Formats: sequence, C-alpha cells, structure tokens
Amino acid sequence: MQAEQEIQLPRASSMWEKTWQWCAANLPSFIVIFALWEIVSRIWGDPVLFPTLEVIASRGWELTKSGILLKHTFATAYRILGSMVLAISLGVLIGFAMGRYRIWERFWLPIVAVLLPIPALAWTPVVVLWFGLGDVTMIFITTFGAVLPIISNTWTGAKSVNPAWIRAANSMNCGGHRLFFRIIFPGSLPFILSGVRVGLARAWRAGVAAEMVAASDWGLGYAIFASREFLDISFMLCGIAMIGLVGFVMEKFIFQNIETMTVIKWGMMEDVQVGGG
Amino acid sequence: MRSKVSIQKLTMSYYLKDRVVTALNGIDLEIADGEFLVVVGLSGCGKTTLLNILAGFIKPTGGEILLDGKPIAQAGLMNRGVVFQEYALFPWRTALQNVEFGLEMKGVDRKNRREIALKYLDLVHLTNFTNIYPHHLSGGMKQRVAVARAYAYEPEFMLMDEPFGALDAQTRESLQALTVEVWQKTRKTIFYVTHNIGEAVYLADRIIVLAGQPGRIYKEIRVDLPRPRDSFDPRYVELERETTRAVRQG
Repeated sequence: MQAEQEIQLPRASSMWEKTWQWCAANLPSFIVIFALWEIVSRIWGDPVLFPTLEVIASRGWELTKSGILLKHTFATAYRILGSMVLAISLGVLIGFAMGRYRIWERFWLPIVAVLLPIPALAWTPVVVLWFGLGDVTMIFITTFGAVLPIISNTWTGAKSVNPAWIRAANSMNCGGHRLFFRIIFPGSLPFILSGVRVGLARAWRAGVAAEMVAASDWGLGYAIFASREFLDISFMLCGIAMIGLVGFVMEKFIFQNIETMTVIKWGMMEDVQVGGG
Repeated sequence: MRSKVSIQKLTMSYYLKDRVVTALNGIDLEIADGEFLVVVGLSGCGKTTLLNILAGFIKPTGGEILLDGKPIAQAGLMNRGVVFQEYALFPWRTALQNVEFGLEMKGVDRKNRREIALKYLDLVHLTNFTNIYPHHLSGGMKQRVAVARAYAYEPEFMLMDEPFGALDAQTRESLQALTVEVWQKTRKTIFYVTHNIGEAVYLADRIIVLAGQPGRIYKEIRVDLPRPRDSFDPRYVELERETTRAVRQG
C-alpha cells in the first residue's frame, strides 16, 4: 500500500524574502554603475567637476540633514500633485465627453491632435510672460503636460467599453448617469489609469525642466540649475538622484497599488511589474 | 394557454449602402405563458435580430409586439432578462455582485438583494463561488452566473442568445440540463436562439425554424417528448432530422 503523500503548496514569500529577491535582481546593475563612476572620478582626479562617491554621499547627507534637499523635493512634488489633480479632473471630463458625445469629439479631437506633440516645456516663455515666475506658471505647464495623454486615453477607454456590458446593463434598466458610474467608468478604468500614468511621467519631467527656467526659489529643478553658480556638482547629482527616486516611488508605491487593487484584481489588465518583483 | 408575447406582422429593414435589406419580413408569432420557445435557422436568417428587437435593443421598422397585451415599447425594460452569447459579466464585480446588479437597479435593499442573489446562485450551483471575480471563473461558470443574473432580476420573459455557443460539448450539455431544471422551477417564458439543432430538440416545447433573406417563419415543430429527454430516443432523433431538413430547405 502506498503511503498517503502530503501535498506541499508553495509557501507565500514573506516581506523580507521579497525585499531580498528585489535587491538581488536590481542591485547588481547599480553596483556596476557606481563602480565605473568611482573609477572614472579617480582617474580624472578633479574633485570639483567629477567628485568621488564619497564626496557626493557626504554632500547628500549634509543636504538631507539640513532639510534643504527635502524642502526642494516637496516644493516640486506639491506643484506636481496640484497639477495632477487638475489634469485628472479636466482630462477625464473632456475624455468622457469626447467618448460619449459626437459633438464634443468633433470639437476636441483636432485640438488634442495638434497639442499632443508639443512638449509642455515649449510653452514656458509664453506662460512666464503671462503669469511671471512661480507656482502658477509651473502648475500651468505641468497640467498641460499631463492632461493630453489623460484626455486621449479616457476617450479611447470610453469608446472601447465592451458593448455587451452596456447591453446587459440596459436590459436591467440601467441607463443615464447610472450607466456612466456603474459601467462606463469602471469599464474604461484600465485606459484611464494608463493615461494618468503617462500624464504623471510627463508632468514630472516637464515640471523639473520648467523649474530650471521658471521657478522662483524652491524646487528640485531650480536647485539643480542654481547650484551651477557655486560649481556644486554634488548638489546637482543629489538633486538628479532625488528626481529619479521620487519618480520611482510614485510609480512603484502609488500606481502599482492602485492597479493591483482595481484593474489587475478584476483581470482587466495584466500584472506588469516595473523594477522587477 | 394565454399569450405572453404576441408578435404581429413584424418587419425589420435597414440600409446597406444604398440597398434596402429586409432582415425580417412579416413575422407573426404567439408565445404562450411559460413556454420554452427555441428559434433555429442558418446564420444570417435574422434570429438574433428578432431577439434584439424583443429585448428592446433595436426598434422594428414595422409591426407590433405585445407583452401581456400591451405594446412592448411602453412596457419598458423591467420585465425582460437577457443572457448573451459573449460573456457579458462585469469584471469589476464578484459573481454575487453581478447577480445583485439587476436588483440594485430595481432598488431592492441590501439585505434582500443578497438573499435573492444567493438563492439564484444556488439554483445554478455556484454558492461556493460567490466572492470570486469573473476572470477566475471558467466559461461555463461565467454563463451560469449570467443565467443567475438574468433570473435574479425576476423578469417575466427570458431571452437567451446562443448562451452556450462558446462552450465545450460537455459543459454545454450540463448547462442545457440546468436550463431546463431552472425553467421547470421558475416557469418563466423563454425565447431561446440557437443554431444547434440537438440543443433545440432537447430544450424546446416548440421549435421555430426561420428562413433567411428575408427572414420569415419557415416551419413550426412541436416537441412532444417528456422531460428529461433522451437523445437516443427514436422520436428525438426523428425530430432532429425533421428540424435539420427544415433548416436546410428554408
């Protein structure tokens, strides 16, 4: 007689194991890049133009401790956040109007088509003349950067809602605003989310770049650009690293969570992990 | 038995480029209360168009449809349930929430909603899958949820458009048996469209054979077999043969 075999299910990996796996997958690339940097900076031998990792790290620590780096980061993040709230409200509204009503589609489509390829940054001089240096200009430019992909994705999403869902809902007496909130909106959510994701990336890039020209005294872009006056390359590099870090955190911890809790859970979108694990 | 649905001189034409195409031409049909009516015909004969008109998705260009003696346009959508060929479940709702949808639309309160939805999920043997999202369900399970959803809305009149057409043979057979079981329990009038003749003979009280271009009723076949039906019964085979011949000739 055969002994009853125990079924071994794969154990869910713990938080630590996941972190370890993630580090093992991603750290080697960074280690190689850092090593190359260190070698070049030693050969070059100019501590001002090409500082060693140690110099950069200690400058970074100093800036973090004094809170200056964080203050610049928050100034940028706050502008981006404000403009994202605006861009999402406007973009989703216009996108749905286009997707559901022929007349709005006719009105907006040429406008969107013409504006979409223009980099938001190109508007900077115009907007600076209108609103001067500062938050209004910044929010205008970043909102412009984010709103177009959100409009065009929401429009596509609203048009590609499965007609069978709409018929099924209609057959159960669901129409008008109930149809919109219960079917059209969740049905186009995968498109809207990817539009917001592209919009955020565009806003973040345009925002930092515009700060170099148009911000008055705070913001990562402004800080990086201003520190050229002091030949402070370490400051610039720390600022650049911060830009990358914030972008990564927004993608990894905000977006992926929203997607995991909605469209991925519903099987409307594949689970694509950015940055491995 | 009195008529549940009465279709009179129904016509449906539309423009295809600059040509007028008549999809349905002078359909007269009475459906009795509690009857299981199955419509068969080759593809393009207008059977799905007829279903879509009955469901209220499209307006006919001529004729009249009465539901309980009243024009169907006035009857609104409150009294019809539809099961589609494609999986029309809402992916963002669990099986239970999908079944609750129609009840929500009717304004049934949360507690009763849950109770009724669970009753119908039980009817299609899916009580263990109430909190599962549709994409984790097999094709057969999805259609069972769709059937439960249509029934939970408690319509007077059930429309089914090749609901099991996309399923494998075994799953289809078990769902056909389930459909008869549910029909016998609820006694709702069913208008069922299929191109599968075996399915028609298994399910129907009466089979309507539509002939295409323009769509019209070619033949009516009464299925006088007791239920549950045995597909090896000589009379069953004979009815299949008769229906097949009618479909081909039509």
